[in-house]
Amino acid sequence: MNDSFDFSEAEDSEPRVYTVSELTRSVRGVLETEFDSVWVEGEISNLRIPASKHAYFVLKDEKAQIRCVMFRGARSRMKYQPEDGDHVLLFGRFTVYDARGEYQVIVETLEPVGLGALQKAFEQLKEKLAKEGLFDDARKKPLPEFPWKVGVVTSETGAAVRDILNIIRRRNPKVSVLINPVKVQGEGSAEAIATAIREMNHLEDVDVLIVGRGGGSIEDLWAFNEEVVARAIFESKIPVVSAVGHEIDFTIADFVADLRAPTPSAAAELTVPVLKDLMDRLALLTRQAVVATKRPIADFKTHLQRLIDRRFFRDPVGLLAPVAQRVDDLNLRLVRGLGLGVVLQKQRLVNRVRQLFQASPERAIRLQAERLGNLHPRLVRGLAQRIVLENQRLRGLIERLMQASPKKIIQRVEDKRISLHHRLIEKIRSLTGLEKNRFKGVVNNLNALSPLTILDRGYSICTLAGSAVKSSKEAKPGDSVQVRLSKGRLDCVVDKILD
Amino acid sequence: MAEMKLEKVMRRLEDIVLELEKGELDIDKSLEIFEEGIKMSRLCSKKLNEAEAKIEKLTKNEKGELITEMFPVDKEDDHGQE
Repeated sequence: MNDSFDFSEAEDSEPRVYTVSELTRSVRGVLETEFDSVWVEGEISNLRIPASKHAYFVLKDEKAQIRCVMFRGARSRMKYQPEDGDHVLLFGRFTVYDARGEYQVIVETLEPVGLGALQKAFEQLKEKLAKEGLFDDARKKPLPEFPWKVGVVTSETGAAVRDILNIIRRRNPKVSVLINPVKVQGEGSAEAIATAIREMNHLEDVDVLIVGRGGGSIEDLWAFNEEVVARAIFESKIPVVSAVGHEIDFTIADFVADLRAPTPSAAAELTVPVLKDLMDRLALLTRQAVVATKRPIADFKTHLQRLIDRRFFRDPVGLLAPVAQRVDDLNLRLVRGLGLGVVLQKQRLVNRVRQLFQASPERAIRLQAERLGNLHPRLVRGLAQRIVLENQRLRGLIERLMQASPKKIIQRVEDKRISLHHRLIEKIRSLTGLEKNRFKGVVNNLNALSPLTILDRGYSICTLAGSAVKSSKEAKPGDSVQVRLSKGRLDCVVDKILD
Repeated sequence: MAEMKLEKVMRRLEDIVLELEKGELDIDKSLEIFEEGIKMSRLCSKKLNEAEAKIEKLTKNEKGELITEMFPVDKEDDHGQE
Protein backbone atom coordinates (compact mmCIF):
# COMPACT_ATOMS: atom_id res chain seq x y z
CA MET A 1 0.00 0.00 0.00
CA ASN A 2 2.70 2.31 1.05
CA ASP A 3 4.73 1.46 -2.01
CA SER A 4 1.93 2.14 -4.44
CA PHE A 5 1.09 5.28 -2.67
CA ASP A 6 4.70 6.35 -2.94
CA PHE A 7 4.69 5.29 -6.54
CA SER A 8 1.71 7.41 -7.50
CA GLU A 9 2.94 10.26 -5.42
CA ALA A 10 6.33 10.11 -7.13
CA GLU A 11 4.61 9.95 -10.50
CA ASP A 12 2.66 12.93 -9.64
CA SER A 13 5.57 15.04 -8.50
CA GLU A 14 8.44 14.19 -10.81
CA PRO A 15 9.51 11.27 -13.04
CA ARG A 16 10.57 8.23 -11.03
CA VAL A 17 14.18 7.23 -11.57
CA TYR A 18 14.79 3.49 -11.39
CA THR A 19 17.99 1.80 -10.85
CA VAL A 20 18.69 -0.86 -13.48
CA SER A 21 18.05 -3.56 -10.93
CA GLU A 22 14.80 -2.01 -9.85
CA LEU A 23 13.52 -1.76 -13.38
CA THR A 24 14.61 -5.24 -14.26
CA ARG A 25 12.93 -6.57 -11.14
CA SER A 26 9.76 -4.76 -12.00
CA VAL A 27 9.74 -5.97 -15.58
CA ARG A 28 10.42 -9.52 -14.42
CA GLY A 29 7.55 -9.27 -12.00
CA VAL A 30 5.19 -8.22 -14.71
CA LEU A 31 6.41 -10.80 -17.25
CA GLU A 32 6.55 -13.72 -14.87
CA THR A 33 3.05 -13.04 -13.65
CA GLU A 34 1.59 -12.50 -17.08
CA PHE A 35 3.38 -15.34 -18.90
CA ASP A 36 3.79 -17.88 -16.18
CA SER A 37 2.69 -20.69 -18.47
CA VAL A 38 2.89 -20.28 -22.21
CA TRP A 39 2.72 -22.43 -25.30
CA VAL A 40 5.02 -21.23 -28.07
CA GLU A 41 5.52 -22.64 -31.50
CA GLY A 42 8.58 -21.97 -33.60
CA GLU A 43 11.77 -23.23 -35.14
CA ILE A 44 14.80 -24.14 -33.14
CA SER A 45 18.13 -22.53 -33.91
CA ASN A 46 21.50 -21.96 -32.22
CA LEU A 47 20.97 -25.04 -30.11
CA ARG A 48 23.83 -25.73 -27.76
CA ILE A 49 24.13 -28.19 -24.93
CA PRO A 50 27.19 -27.55 -22.74
CA ALA A 51 28.60 -29.90 -20.13
CA SER A 52 25.87 -28.87 -17.70
CA LYS A 53 23.47 -30.81 -20.01
CA HIS A 54 21.09 -27.85 -20.04
CA ALA A 55 19.95 -26.98 -23.53
CA TYR A 56 20.09 -23.39 -24.75
CA PHE A 57 18.51 -22.37 -28.00
CA VAL A 58 16.64 -19.67 -29.83
CA LEU A 59 13.07 -20.19 -30.92
CA LYS A 60 12.24 -18.15 -33.92
CA ASP A 61 9.78 -17.50 -36.71
CA GLU A 62 10.17 -15.28 -39.74
CA LYS A 63 10.09 -12.04 -37.76
CA ALA A 64 11.20 -12.58 -34.20
CA GLN A 65 13.12 -14.75 -31.81
CA ILE A 66 13.05 -15.71 -28.14
CA ARG A 67 15.81 -17.18 -26.03
CA CYS A 68 14.96 -20.52 -24.48
CA VAL A 69 16.58 -22.75 -21.94
CA MET A 70 15.63 -26.30 -21.12
CA PHE A 71 17.18 -27.64 -17.98
CA ARG A 72 18.68 -31.07 -17.65
CA GLY A 73 15.79 -32.48 -15.60
CA ALA A 74 13.18 -31.54 -18.19
CA ARG A 75 15.36 -32.80 -21.00
CA SER A 76 15.86 -36.22 -19.46
CA ARG A 77 12.08 -36.83 -19.46
CA MET A 78 11.90 -36.45 -23.24
CA LYS A 79 12.14 -39.10 -25.94
CA TYR A 80 12.58 -36.59 -28.69
CA GLN A 81 15.87 -34.75 -28.90
CA PRO A 82 15.44 -31.41 -30.73
CA GLU A 83 17.88 -30.26 -33.34
CA ASP A 84 18.42 -26.97 -35.14
CA GLY A 85 15.74 -26.39 -37.73
CA ASP A 86 13.14 -28.51 -35.92
CA HIS A 87 9.67 -27.06 -35.79
CA VAL A 88 8.47 -27.46 -32.23
CA LEU A 89 5.71 -26.62 -29.84
CA LEU A 90 6.99 -25.88 -26.37
CA PHE A 91 5.47 -25.21 -23.02
CA GLY A 92 7.20 -23.16 -20.35
CA ARG A 93 7.28 -19.98 -18.32
CA PHE A 94 8.70 -16.61 -19.02
CA THR A 95 11.51 -15.17 -16.98
CA VAL A 96 14.12 -12.43 -17.10
CA TYR A 97 17.76 -13.10 -16.76
CA ASP A 98 18.77 -10.08 -14.68
CA ALA A 99 22.49 -10.22 -15.34
CA ARG A 100 21.95 -9.70 -19.03
CA GLY A 101 18.66 -7.98 -19.07
CA GLU A 102 17.33 -10.64 -21.36
CA TYR A 103 14.07 -12.43 -21.18
CA GLN A 104 13.86 -16.12 -21.90
CA VAL A 105 11.49 -19.05 -21.76
CA ILE A 106 12.28 -21.84 -19.37
CA VAL A 107 11.02 -24.85 -21.30
CA GLU A 108 9.23 -27.62 -19.46
CA THR A 109 8.10 -29.77 -22.34
CA LEU A 110 8.81 -29.65 -25.98
CA GLU A 111 7.38 -31.71 -28.78
CA PRO A 112 7.91 -31.82 -32.47
CA VAL A 113 5.18 -30.31 -34.56
CA GLY A 114 3.86 -31.83 -37.74
CA LEU A 115 4.88 -34.81 -39.88
CA GLY A 116 8.39 -33.61 -40.48
CA ALA A 117 9.26 -33.70 -36.82
CA LEU A 118 7.69 -37.12 -36.24
CA GLN A 119 9.59 -38.32 -39.25
CA LYS A 120 12.67 -36.93 -37.61
CA ALA A 121 12.09 -38.83 -34.37
CA PHE A 122 11.47 -41.92 -36.45
CA GLU A 123 14.71 -41.50 -38.36
CA GLN A 124 16.63 -40.87 -35.16
CA LEU A 125 15.39 -44.05 -33.52
CA LYS A 126 15.79 -46.05 -36.69
CA GLU A 127 19.39 -45.00 -36.99
CA LYS A 128 20.11 -45.71 -33.36
CA LEU A 129 18.57 -49.18 -33.41
CA ALA A 130 20.18 -50.04 -36.73
CA LYS A 131 23.54 -49.17 -35.22
CA GLU A 132 22.80 -51.47 -32.32
CA GLY A 133 22.09 -54.27 -34.78
CA LEU A 134 18.39 -54.68 -34.03
CA PHE A 135 17.57 -54.87 -37.74
CA ASP A 136 20.34 -57.29 -38.70
CA ASP A 137 19.13 -60.09 -40.92
CA ALA A 138 21.41 -62.47 -39.10
CA ARG A 139 19.35 -61.91 -35.94
CA LYS A 140 16.07 -62.67 -37.63
CA LYS A 141 14.43 -65.95 -36.72
CA PRO A 142 12.80 -68.16 -39.35
CA LEU A 143 9.05 -68.62 -39.01
CA PRO A 144 7.83 -72.11 -38.18
CA GLU A 145 6.46 -73.90 -41.23
CA PHE A 146 3.51 -75.31 -39.32
CA PRO A 147 2.56 -73.23 -36.31
CA TRP A 148 0.02 -74.95 -34.07
CA LYS A 149 -0.64 -71.82 -32.08
CA VAL A 150 -0.42 -68.26 -33.32
CA GLY A 151 -0.14 -65.46 -30.75
CA VAL A 152 -1.71 -62.14 -31.71
CA VAL A 153 -0.85 -58.87 -29.98
CA THR A 154 -3.37 -56.27 -31.06
CA SER A 155 -6.55 -54.52 -30.00
CA GLU A 156 -9.37 -56.95 -29.39
CA THR A 157 -11.91 -54.54 -30.79
CA GLY A 158 -10.10 -53.49 -33.96
CA ALA A 159 -10.57 -54.72 -37.48
CA ALA A 160 -7.13 -56.31 -37.42
CA VAL A 161 -8.04 -59.07 -34.98
CA ARG A 162 -11.14 -60.00 -37.04
CA ASP A 163 -9.11 -60.10 -40.23
CA ILE A 164 -6.42 -62.23 -38.69
CA LEU A 165 -8.91 -64.68 -37.15
CA ASN A 166 -10.93 -65.01 -40.33
CA ILE A 167 -7.94 -65.75 -42.44
CA ILE A 168 -6.42 -68.22 -40.03
CA ARG A 169 -9.74 -70.09 -39.66
CA ARG A 170 -10.24 -70.15 -43.39
CA ARG A 171 -6.75 -71.33 -44.21
CA ASN A 172 -6.24 -73.75 -41.42
CA PRO A 173 -8.94 -74.57 -38.87
CA LYS A 174 -6.43 -76.73 -37.01
CA VAL A 175 -4.39 -73.75 -35.91
CA SER A 176 -5.11 -72.26 -32.49
CA VAL A 177 -4.98 -68.55 -31.85
CA LEU A 178 -4.16 -66.79 -28.60
CA ILE A 179 -4.95 -63.09 -28.50
CA ASN A 180 -3.25 -60.80 -26.02
CA PRO A 181 -5.48 -57.76 -26.24
CA VAL A 182 -3.73 -54.38 -25.96
CA LYS A 183 -4.36 -50.74 -26.48
CA VAL A 184 -2.63 -49.89 -29.77
CA GLN A 185 -2.72 -46.12 -29.72
CA GLY A 186 -2.55 -43.25 -27.28
CA GLU A 187 -0.83 -42.82 -23.98
CA GLY A 188 0.84 -45.98 -22.66
CA SER A 189 0.04 -48.05 -25.74
CA ALA A 190 3.71 -48.69 -26.61
CA GLU A 191 4.40 -50.00 -23.12
CA ALA A 192 1.27 -52.17 -23.27
CA ILE A 193 2.36 -53.69 -26.59
CA ALA A 194 5.86 -54.36 -25.27
CA THR A 195 4.47 -56.00 -22.14
CA ALA A 196 2.08 -58.15 -24.17
CA ILE A 197 4.97 -59.42 -26.33
CA ARG A 198 6.93 -60.34 -23.20
CA GLU A 199 3.92 -62.10 -21.69
CA MET A 200 3.55 -64.22 -24.81
CA ASN A 201 7.17 -65.23 -24.44
CA HIS A 202 6.44 -66.58 -20.99
CA LEU A 203 3.99 -69.07 -22.46
CA GLU A 204 5.22 -72.45 -23.61
CA ASP A 205 3.20 -73.16 -26.67
CA VAL A 206 3.04 -70.07 -28.87
CA ASP A 207 4.86 -70.82 -32.13
CA VAL A 208 4.72 -67.43 -33.78
CA LEU A 209 3.55 -63.92 -32.90
CA ILE A 210 1.63 -61.42 -35.00
CA VAL A 211 2.05 -57.88 -33.62
CA GLY A 212 0.12 -55.08 -35.21
CA ARG A 213 -3.01 -53.08 -35.83
CA GLY A 214 -5.13 -51.83 -38.66
CA GLY A 215 -4.56 -48.68 -40.65
CA GLY A 216 -4.58 -45.18 -39.22
CA SER A 217 -2.75 -41.87 -39.22
CA ILE A 218 0.95 -41.77 -38.51
CA GLU A 219 0.10 -40.61 -35.00
CA ASP A 220 -2.24 -43.59 -34.57
CA LEU A 221 0.49 -45.97 -35.61
CA TRP A 222 3.09 -44.23 -33.48
CA ALA A 223 3.26 -46.82 -30.71
CA PHE A 224 4.88 -49.16 -33.22
CA ASN A 225 7.63 -46.59 -33.70
CA GLU A 226 8.52 -46.55 -30.03
CA GLU A 227 11.75 -47.94 -28.73
CA VAL A 228 10.09 -50.13 -26.04
CA VAL A 229 8.15 -52.00 -28.72
CA ALA A 230 11.24 -52.39 -30.89
CA ARG A 231 13.19 -53.83 -27.96
CA ALA A 232 10.40 -56.20 -26.94
CA ILE A 233 10.21 -57.53 -30.50
CA PHE A 234 13.97 -57.88 -30.67
CA GLU A 235 14.10 -59.76 -27.38
CA SER A 236 11.22 -62.09 -28.25
CA LYS A 237 12.24 -65.72 -28.48
CA ILE A 238 9.11 -66.39 -30.48
CA PRO A 239 9.43 -65.25 -34.11
CA VAL A 240 7.51 -62.02 -34.64
CA VAL A 241 5.56 -60.96 -37.72
CA SER A 242 4.79 -57.26 -37.75
CA ALA A 243 1.50 -56.17 -39.26
CA VAL A 244 1.00 -52.45 -38.85
CA GLY A 245 -1.47 -50.39 -40.86
CA HIS A 246 -1.50 -50.56 -44.60
CA GLU A 247 1.03 -51.65 -47.15
CA ILE A 248 2.58 -48.17 -47.36
CA ASP A 249 3.11 -47.79 -43.63
CA PHE A 250 6.55 -48.64 -42.39
CA THR A 251 7.23 -48.61 -38.67
CA ILE A 252 10.26 -49.34 -36.53
CA ALA A 253 8.46 -52.54 -35.48
CA ASP A 254 8.57 -53.63 -39.13
CA PHE A 255 12.33 -53.29 -39.23
CA VAL A 256 12.90 -55.25 -36.05
CA ALA A 257 10.33 -57.98 -36.71
CA ASP A 258 11.49 -61.30 -38.11
CA LEU A 259 9.06 -60.75 -40.95
CA ARG A 260 7.12 -57.67 -42.02
CA ALA A 261 3.64 -58.26 -43.28
CA PRO A 262 2.07 -55.36 -45.20
CA THR A 263 -1.26 -55.78 -43.38
CA PRO A 264 -2.73 -57.88 -40.55
CA SER A 265 -4.51 -60.11 -43.11
CA ALA A 266 -1.25 -60.66 -44.94
CA ALA A 267 0.40 -61.54 -41.64
CA ALA A 268 -2.15 -64.31 -41.10
CA GLU A 269 -1.55 -65.59 -44.61
CA LEU A 270 2.22 -65.53 -44.26
CA THR A 271 2.09 -67.27 -40.92
CA VAL A 272 -0.38 -70.08 -41.41
CA PRO A 273 -0.20 -72.65 -44.22
CA VAL A 274 -3.42 -73.81 -45.85
CA LEU A 275 -4.47 -77.08 -44.27
CA LYS A 276 -5.64 -78.53 -47.57
CA ASP A 277 -2.27 -77.86 -49.18
CA LEU A 278 -0.66 -79.58 -46.27
CA MET A 279 -2.91 -82.61 -46.59
CA ASP A 280 -2.39 -82.71 -50.35
CA ARG A 281 1.35 -82.54 -49.95
CA LEU A 282 1.27 -85.29 -47.39
CA ALA A 283 -0.89 -87.48 -49.63
CA LEU A 284 1.38 -86.81 -52.61
CA LEU A 285 4.51 -87.64 -50.67
CA THR A 286 2.97 -90.82 -49.37
CA ARG A 287 1.91 -91.84 -52.86
CA GLN A 288 5.36 -91.09 -54.18
CA ALA A 289 6.91 -93.20 -51.46
CA VAL A 290 4.63 -96.09 -52.34
CA VAL A 291 5.32 -95.82 -56.08
CA ALA A 292 9.04 -95.45 -55.55
CA THR A 293 9.09 -98.53 -53.39
CA LYS A 294 6.75 -100.61 -55.54
CA ARG A 295 8.90 -100.26 -58.64
CA PRO A 296 12.03 -101.94 -57.35
CA ILE A 297 9.92 -104.54 -55.63
CA ALA A 298 8.18 -105.33 -58.92
CA ASP A 299 11.54 -105.52 -60.69
CA PHE A 300 12.82 -107.74 -57.98
CA LYS A 301 9.79 -110.01 -58.31
CA THR A 302 10.17 -110.32 -62.07
CA HIS A 303 13.80 -111.13 -61.70
CA LEU A 304 13.05 -113.67 -59.04
CA GLN A 305 10.35 -115.29 -61.18
CA ARG A 306 12.75 -115.53 -64.08
CA LEU A 307 15.27 -117.20 -61.87
CA ILE A 308 12.74 -119.61 -60.44
CA ASP A 309 11.61 -120.50 -63.91
CA ARG A 310 15.04 -121.74 -64.83
CA ARG A 311 15.71 -125.46 -64.92
CA PHE A 312 18.21 -125.17 -62.13
CA PHE A 313 15.48 -124.56 -59.61
CA ARG A 314 13.12 -127.06 -61.12
CA ASP A 315 15.58 -129.94 -61.34
CA PRO A 316 18.66 -129.03 -59.37
CA VAL A 317 19.92 -132.62 -58.98
CA GLY A 318 19.67 -133.43 -62.65
CA LEU A 319 21.44 -130.18 -63.35
CA LEU A 320 24.15 -130.80 -60.88
CA ALA A 321 24.96 -134.41 -61.82
CA PRO A 322 26.95 -133.59 -64.98
CA VAL A 323 28.66 -130.81 -63.10
CA ALA A 324 29.68 -133.17 -60.36
CA GLN A 325 30.97 -135.62 -62.94
CA ARG A 326 32.93 -132.96 -64.65
CA VAL A 327 34.43 -131.85 -61.39
CA ASP A 328 35.60 -135.39 -60.75
CA ASP A 329 37.02 -135.64 -64.24
CA LEU A 330 38.82 -132.32 -63.94
CA ASN A 331 40.18 -133.30 -60.61
CA LEU A 332 41.73 -136.42 -62.05
CA ARG A 333 43.20 -134.55 -64.97
CA LEU A 334 44.48 -131.91 -62.67
CA VAL A 335 46.35 -134.39 -60.53
CA ARG A 336 47.77 -136.11 -63.57
CA GLY A 337 48.58 -133.02 -65.46
CA LEU A 338 49.92 -131.14 -62.54
CA GLY A 339 53.58 -131.79 -63.29
CA LEU A 340 53.29 -130.98 -66.96
CA GLY A 341 50.79 -128.28 -66.27
CA VAL A 342 53.09 -126.42 -63.97
CA VAL A 343 55.94 -126.51 -66.48
CA LEU A 344 53.63 -125.28 -69.20
CA GLN A 345 52.20 -122.58 -67.04
CA LYS A 346 55.64 -121.39 -66.13
CA GLN A 347 56.76 -121.37 -69.72
CA ARG A 348 53.65 -119.41 -70.64
CA LEU A 349 54.29 -116.98 -67.90
CA VAL A 350 57.88 -116.43 -68.98
CA ASN A 351 56.73 -115.93 -72.56
CA ARG A 352 54.09 -113.58 -71.44
CA VAL A 353 56.55 -111.50 -69.46
CA ARG A 354 58.91 -111.40 -72.39
CA GLN A 355 56.10 -110.40 -74.69
CA LEU A 356 55.11 -107.74 -72.33
CA PHE A 357 58.60 -106.36 -72.23
CA GLN A 358 58.96 -106.55 -75.98
CA ALA A 359 55.60 -105.06 -76.57
CA SER A 360 56.37 -102.18 -74.34
CA PRO A 361 56.96 -99.05 -76.34
CA GLU A 362 59.22 -97.66 -73.75
CA ARG A 363 62.85 -98.39 -74.37
CA ALA A 364 63.55 -97.31 -70.88
CA ILE A 365 61.45 -100.09 -69.56
CA ARG A 366 63.37 -102.58 -71.68
CA LEU A 367 66.63 -101.24 -70.41
CA GLN A 368 65.35 -101.37 -66.95
CA ALA A 369 64.32 -104.93 -67.58
CA GLU A 370 67.78 -105.82 -68.83
CA ARG A 371 69.39 -104.19 -65.93
CA LEU A 372 67.02 -106.03 -63.79
CA GLY A 373 68.04 -109.24 -65.57
CA ASN A 374 71.66 -108.55 -64.78
CA LEU A 375 70.99 -107.54 -61.34
CA HIS A 376 68.87 -110.48 -60.60
CA PRO A 377 71.61 -113.18 -60.42
CA ARG A 378 73.77 -110.84 -58.44
CA LEU A 379 70.97 -110.22 -56.20
CA VAL A 380 70.34 -113.93 -55.80
CA ARG A 381 74.02 -114.58 -55.19
CA GLY A 382 74.25 -111.80 -52.73
CA LEU A 383 71.18 -113.02 -51.11
CA ALA A 384 72.49 -116.58 -50.86
CA GLN A 385 75.70 -115.39 -49.27
CA ARG A 386 73.78 -113.26 -46.98
CA ILE A 387 71.61 -116.18 -46.05
CA VAL A 388 74.65 -118.37 -45.32
CA LEU A 389 76.14 -115.66 -43.16
CA GLU A 390 72.93 -115.06 -41.42
CA ASN A 391 72.61 -118.78 -40.84
CA GLN A 392 76.00 -118.99 -39.28
CA ARG A 393 75.34 -116.03 -37.15
CA LEU A 394 72.11 -117.56 -36.14
CA ARG A 395 73.74 -120.86 -35.29
CA GLY A 396 76.34 -119.05 -33.21
CA LEU A 397 73.61 -117.21 -31.47
CA ILE A 398 71.70 -120.38 -30.84
CA GLU A 399 74.79 -122.05 -29.43
CA ARG A 400 75.47 -119.12 -27.18
CA LEU A 401 71.92 -119.13 -26.24
CA MET A 402 72.06 -122.86 -25.47
CA GLN A 403 75.15 -122.36 -23.38
CA ALA A 404 73.49 -119.59 -21.62
CA SER A 405 70.55 -121.73 -20.76
CA PRO A 406 70.30 -122.65 -17.06
CA LYS A 407 70.50 -126.33 -17.75
CA LYS A 408 73.81 -125.74 -19.45
CA ILE A 409 75.01 -123.60 -16.61
CA ILE A 410 74.04 -126.21 -14.06
CA GLN A 411 75.77 -128.83 -16.18
CA ARG A 412 78.85 -126.67 -16.34
CA VAL A 413 78.84 -126.07 -12.60
CA GLU A 414 78.38 -129.78 -12.05
CA ASP A 415 81.27 -130.55 -14.39
CA LYS A 416 83.44 -128.09 -12.62
CA ARG A 417 82.42 -129.53 -9.30
CA ILE A 418 83.32 -133.03 -10.43
CA SER A 419 86.63 -131.96 -11.85
CA LEU A 420 87.42 -130.10 -8.63
CA HIS A 421 86.46 -133.11 -6.65
CA HIS A 422 88.84 -135.26 -8.69
CA ARG A 423 91.57 -132.77 -8.30
CA LEU A 424 90.96 -132.72 -4.57
CA ILE A 425 91.07 -136.51 -4.34
CA GLU A 426 94.25 -136.44 -6.42
CA LYS A 427 95.77 -133.83 -4.20
CA ILE A 428 94.81 -135.75 -1.09
CA ARG A 429 96.19 -138.89 -2.61
CA SER A 430 99.51 -137.36 -3.54
CA LEU A 431 99.71 -135.56 -0.21
CA THR A 432 98.99 -138.82 1.63
CA GLY A 433 101.74 -140.63 -0.31
CA LEU A 434 104.24 -137.97 0.64
CA GLU A 435 103.31 -138.14 4.29
CA LYS A 436 103.65 -141.89 4.20
CA ASN A 437 107.21 -141.69 2.91
CA ARG A 438 108.06 -139.00 5.36
CA PHE A 439 106.59 -141.09 8.12
CA LYS A 440 108.70 -144.04 6.98
CA GLY A 441 111.83 -141.88 7.18
CA VAL A 442 110.91 -140.60 10.58
CA VAL A 443 110.25 -144.10 11.79
CA ASN A 444 113.57 -145.19 10.39
CA ASN A 445 115.32 -142.34 12.14
CA LEU A 446 113.50 -143.19 15.25
CA ASN A 447 114.57 -146.74 14.83
CA ALA A 448 118.13 -145.64 14.39
CA LEU A 449 117.98 -143.65 17.58
CA SER A 450 116.15 -146.28 19.52
CA PRO A 451 118.27 -147.91 22.20
CA LEU A 452 116.60 -151.10 21.28
CA THR A 453 118.19 -150.91 17.87
CA ILE A 454 121.62 -150.42 19.51
CA LEU A 455 120.86 -153.38 21.68
CA ASP A 456 120.35 -155.31 18.49
CA ARG A 457 123.92 -154.68 17.72
CA GLY A 458 125.01 -156.24 20.96
CA TYR A 459 124.92 -153.30 23.32
CA SER A 460 123.08 -153.48 26.55
CA ILE A 461 121.79 -150.97 29.01
CA CYS A 462 122.43 -151.07 32.64
CA THR A 463 119.88 -149.38 34.81
CA LEU A 464 119.87 -148.72 38.46
CA ALA A 465 116.62 -147.84 40.04
CA GLY A 466 115.12 -147.08 36.63
CA SER A 467 117.90 -144.81 35.31
CA ALA A 468 120.63 -145.72 32.96
CA VAL A 469 124.01 -146.20 34.53
CA LYS A 470 126.52 -144.42 32.40
CA SER A 471 129.47 -144.42 34.85
CA SER A 472 130.82 -147.08 37.12
CA LYS A 473 130.92 -144.55 39.86
CA GLU A 474 127.17 -144.46 39.95
CA ALA A 475 127.00 -147.87 41.43
CA LYS A 476 128.42 -149.53 44.51
CA PRO A 477 129.24 -153.14 44.96
CA GLY A 478 126.24 -154.97 46.06
CA ASP A 479 123.78 -152.80 44.10
CA SER A 480 121.15 -154.60 42.10
CA VAL A 481 121.23 -153.44 38.55
CA GLN A 482 119.20 -154.47 35.64
CA VAL A 483 120.77 -155.10 32.32
CA ARG A 484 118.62 -154.77 29.40
CA LEU A 485 119.58 -156.86 26.44
CA SER A 486 118.25 -156.87 22.94
CA LYS A 487 115.99 -159.59 24.01
CA GLY A 488 115.17 -159.98 27.66
CA ARG A 489 116.68 -158.57 30.84
CA LEU A 490 119.18 -159.59 33.43
CA ASP A 491 118.96 -158.78 37.14
CA CYS A 492 122.55 -158.50 38.30
CA VAL A 493 124.40 -157.61 41.47
CA VAL A 494 127.43 -155.41 41.27
CA ASP A 495 130.37 -157.33 42.42
CA LYS A 496 133.23 -154.97 42.02
CA ILE A 497 133.80 -151.44 40.93
CA LEU A 498 136.36 -150.84 38.25
CA ASP A 499 137.42 -147.58 36.78
CA MET B 1 2.43 -77.02 -30.18
CA ALA B 2 2.84 -80.68 -30.88
CA GLU B 3 5.48 -82.57 -28.95
CA MET B 4 6.89 -83.52 -32.33
CA LYS B 5 7.46 -80.85 -34.94
CA LEU B 6 5.29 -81.38 -37.98
CA GLU B 7 7.88 -79.80 -40.25
CA LYS B 8 10.52 -82.24 -39.11
CA VAL B 9 8.33 -85.23 -39.84
CA MET B 10 7.30 -83.80 -43.19
CA ARG B 11 10.90 -83.10 -44.13
CA ARG B 12 11.91 -86.62 -43.22
CA LEU B 13 9.12 -87.95 -45.39
CA GLU B 14 10.35 -85.81 -48.27
CA ASP B 15 13.88 -87.09 -47.83
CA ILE B 16 12.62 -90.64 -47.80
CA VAL B 17 10.70 -90.13 -51.03
CA LEU B 18 13.79 -88.61 -52.68
CA GLU B 19 15.92 -91.48 -51.51
CA LEU B 20 13.43 -94.05 -52.73
CA GLU B 21 13.07 -92.34 -56.11
CA LYS B 22 16.82 -92.35 -56.63
CA GLY B 23 16.51 -96.14 -56.61
CA GLU B 24 20.02 -96.74 -55.40
CA LEU B 25 19.07 -98.62 -52.29
CA ASP B 26 18.90 -102.38 -52.05
CA ILE B 27 15.51 -103.88 -51.53
CA ASP B 28 15.87 -104.36 -47.77
CA LYS B 29 16.93 -100.80 -47.13
CA SER B 30 14.20 -99.54 -49.47
CA LEU B 31 11.56 -101.38 -47.54
CA GLU B 32 13.02 -100.23 -44.28
CA ILE B 33 12.86 -96.52 -45.11
CA PHE B 34 9.56 -96.98 -46.89
CA GLU B 35 8.16 -98.31 -43.66
CA GLU B 36 9.58 -95.30 -41.84
CA GLY B 37 8.05 -93.00 -44.46
CA ILE B 38 4.61 -94.52 -44.03
CA LYS B 39 4.97 -94.13 -40.30
CA MET B 40 5.81 -90.44 -40.79
CA SER B 41 2.86 -90.00 -43.11
CA ARG B 42 0.46 -91.60 -40.61
CA LEU B 43 1.90 -89.49 -37.83
CA CYS B 44 1.37 -86.31 -39.82
CA SER B 45 -2.20 -87.02 -40.81
CA LYS B 46 -3.05 -88.22 -37.31
CA LYS B 47 -1.61 -85.01 -35.92
CA LEU B 48 -3.49 -82.87 -38.40
CA ASN B 49 -6.76 -84.74 -37.98
CA GLU B 50 -6.66 -84.79 -34.23
CA ALA B 51 -5.62 -81.18 -33.71
CA GLU B 52 -8.33 -79.15 -32.00
CA ALA B 53 -8.02 -75.48 -32.70
CA LYS B 54 -8.89 -73.07 -29.93
CA ILE B 55 -9.42 -69.35 -30.18
CA GLU B 56 -8.51 -67.82 -26.85
CA LYS B 57 -7.47 -64.57 -25.33
CA LEU B 58 -5.01 -63.83 -22.59
CA THR B 59 -6.31 -62.02 -19.58
CA LYS B 60 -5.50 -61.55 -15.92
CA ASN B 61 -7.36 -62.98 -12.93
CA GLU B 62 -7.91 -61.14 -9.63
CA LYS B 63 -4.43 -62.12 -8.49
CA GLY B 64 -2.94 -60.60 -11.61
CA GLU B 65 -1.95 -64.01 -13.02
CA LEU B 66 -2.22 -64.57 -16.74
CA ILE B 67 -5.07 -66.86 -17.68
CA THR B 68 -6.70 -67.75 -20.98
CA GLU B 69 -10.36 -67.58 -21.78
CA MET B 70 -12.34 -68.30 -24.90
CA PHE B 71 -12.42 -65.53 -27.45
CA PRO B 72 -15.81 -65.08 -29.06
CA VAL B 73 -15.68 -65.83 -32.77
CA ASP B 74 -18.44 -65.01 -35.21
CA LYS B 75 -20.11 -68.23 -36.21
CA GLU B 76 -20.57 -67.02 -39.76
CA ASP B 77 -16.88 -66.44 -40.20
CA ASP B 78 -16.16 -69.76 -38.62
CA HIS B 79 -18.25 -71.79 -41.02
CA GLY B 80 -18.49 -69.84 -44.21
CA GLN B 81 -15.10 -70.78 -45.70
CA GLU B 82 -14.66 -74.45 -44.96
